[in-house]
Amino acid sequence: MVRRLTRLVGVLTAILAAIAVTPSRAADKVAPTTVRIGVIGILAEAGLYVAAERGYFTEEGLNVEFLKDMVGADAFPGLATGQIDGVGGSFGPELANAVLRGVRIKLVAGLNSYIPGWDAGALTIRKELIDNGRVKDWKDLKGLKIGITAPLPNMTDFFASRYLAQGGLTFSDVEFVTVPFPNMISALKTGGIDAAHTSEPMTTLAVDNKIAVKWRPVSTYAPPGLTVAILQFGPSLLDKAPDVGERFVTAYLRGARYYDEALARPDGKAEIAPILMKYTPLKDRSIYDRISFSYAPPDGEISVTGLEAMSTYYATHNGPNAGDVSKLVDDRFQKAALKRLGLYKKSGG
Amino acid sequence: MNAKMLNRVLSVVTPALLLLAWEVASRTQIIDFRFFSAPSAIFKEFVVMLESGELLKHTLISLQRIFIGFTIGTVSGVVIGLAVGLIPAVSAALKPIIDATFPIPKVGLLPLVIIIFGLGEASKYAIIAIGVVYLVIINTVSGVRHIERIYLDVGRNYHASRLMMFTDVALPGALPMIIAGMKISMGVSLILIVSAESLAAKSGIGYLIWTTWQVFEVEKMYVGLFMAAVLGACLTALLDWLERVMIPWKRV
Repeated sequence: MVRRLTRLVGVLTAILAAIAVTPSRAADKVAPTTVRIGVIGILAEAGLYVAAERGYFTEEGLNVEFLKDMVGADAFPGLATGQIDGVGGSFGPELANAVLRGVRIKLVAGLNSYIPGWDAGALTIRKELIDNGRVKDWKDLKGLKIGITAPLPNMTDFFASRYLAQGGLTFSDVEFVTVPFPNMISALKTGGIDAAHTSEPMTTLAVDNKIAVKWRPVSTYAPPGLTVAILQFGPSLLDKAPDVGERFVTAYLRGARYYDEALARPDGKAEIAPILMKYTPLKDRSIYDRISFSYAPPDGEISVTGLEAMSTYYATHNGPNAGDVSKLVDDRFQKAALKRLGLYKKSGG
Repeated sequence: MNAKMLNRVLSVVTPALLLLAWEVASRTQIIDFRFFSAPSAIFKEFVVMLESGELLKHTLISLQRIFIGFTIGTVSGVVIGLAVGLIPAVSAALKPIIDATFPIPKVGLLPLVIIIFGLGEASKYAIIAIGVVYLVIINTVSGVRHIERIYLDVGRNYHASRLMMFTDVALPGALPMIIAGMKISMGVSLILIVSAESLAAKSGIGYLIWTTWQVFEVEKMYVGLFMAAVLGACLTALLDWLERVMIPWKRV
C-alpha cells in the first residue's frame, strides 16, 4: 500500500514537474498573434521568407501576413494607425520626412547589406559601350545617360554620386534619366540609358539577354556594409507589444541564419530558390543558379555609418535632413533576439 | 436677402467654413496632422512653390496636355457623333463598337497607349482624347436624335446639301448636348491626365502629386491636389462661358 502510494506520489510529482517545465505548451494553445508586415516582394527580403517557410514565426506564436507593395509612403498611414506593424524597406527621403513629421518608425534589424562577395547590386553598363571600348574605366562614365529610379535625391542617385566620384566625376558630367526599375532593362536595350545601378535579378536578366554588362559590383562604390533593406517597426510593435516585436526579430534572424547556412551548402540554392519563387515575382528556377544572392545579416546588424552617408547626401541635395540617424535605430529587438540566439557562428566556419 | 444673394453667400461661406473646420481639427489634432496638413501650412507651401516657379511649370504643362488632348477628342467626337446621328450606315457600322468599348476604364488603357504612342507627350494627348471622344460622340448623337424632325425636314425640303445639313442643322441643334458632353469630359480629362502623369511623366500636376507623396512631402502633395481642383473649377467656368457664347438661346 505504502509502495503504491509512493509510486502514485511519484507519478503525480512527475506530471506536475512536466507541466512546470513546459509552460510554453500552454502558450502554444493560445491563438497566434497576427503581425502584418509590408514588403516589396524582392530577393533582398529573403530572410523573412525563409523564416516564414521554415515555420520560425509559427514557433514564436506569430501569424505573419506579408502585405505586398505596402512600403514607403504608402505604408506610413497604416503604420501610424497600427493597421500595419512593420515594413521592409530602404532608408530614403520618404522615411526621413516621415520621421521629421512625427511618424513613429524605428529601424530594428538589417534585411540586406552590401558586402563583398554578395554583390546583389551592380553598376550595369550597356554592352555596346563595353564592346566598342567606350567605357573602360570609371572616368569613362563622363557623358553617359545614367538611369535613376526617382527624381533627386533618392537611393539610385546616391549610388550614382558614389560611382561617379570613383572617376573624379560629378552630376554635371552625366545626364540623368528617370526610369522606374521595371523599365531599366528596356531602357538599356533601346539606349534610353547607358548605365544604371541595378539589383538582382535585373542585372542577370540584362546580362543573359546580352543587353548590358555587370561592370562593377556595388561593394566597389557603396559605403562598406551598407544596409540597403531594413526591417522597420511602427508604434504597434515599438510601444504596445514589444514582446511580439522581439519574437518577430528572433524568428527573422533564425530565417536569415538558415538562409546563410543553406547558401553555403552545394545544394543550398535548390532549397532556397523555391521559397523565393513563392514570395517574389522571379518564378524561373534556372535564374537562381546565376544570380548573386542578397546578403541577409545573420545578426540583423544595421550599418549606421552607411545610413549617415545616405542621410548626409539627402540633406546636401535638397532633401530632408534626418539629423542624428543613430536615433532612427532601435536595437532593443535585435539585442533581445541575440540574447536568446547568441551571436551567429557559421557551421564549419 | 433674396434667394440669389443667399446662394452666392452660401457658395462662398460653405467652403470657407469647411477650411476653418479642417484648420481647427488639424491644429487640435482631432485629425492626424501628419497626414492631413492644416490648410494654413498648405497655403504656406503653396506660396513657396508659386514663388519658385515650380507650381506654374507643372500647371502649365498639364494645361497644355489637357488643351491639346481635349481639342483632338472634342473635334473627333463631334464629327463622328454627327455622322453617326445623321447617317444610318455610319451608325450601323460604328455604334456597336462605340457601345462595346465605352465602358472600358480609360486609365486601364494607359499601358497600351504608352506602347503605341511612347512615353512622350503624344501618349498624354492620346489618353485624354480617348476619354473625351466617347462622351462627346454619345452626347452629339443624342443631341442630333433629339432635334425636332421639322428642322431636318425643312433642311431637306430646301435641298440643303449634306454638308449644310451637318453644319447648319445638326450641329446647332445638337450643340447644347455637345457642350454638356464637353463639360463632363473636361472632368474626365483631369482625372486621366493626373493618372497618366503619375505613371509616366516627368512633369505636370499628376507627377507633382505622385512624386511628393512618394517622398512624403505631404504639404506639397496637397498643393498639387489643390491645383487640380483649381484647374477643374477654372476649366468648368471656361466651358460655362463658352456655353453662354455659343448657345445664347439656351440661357436659363
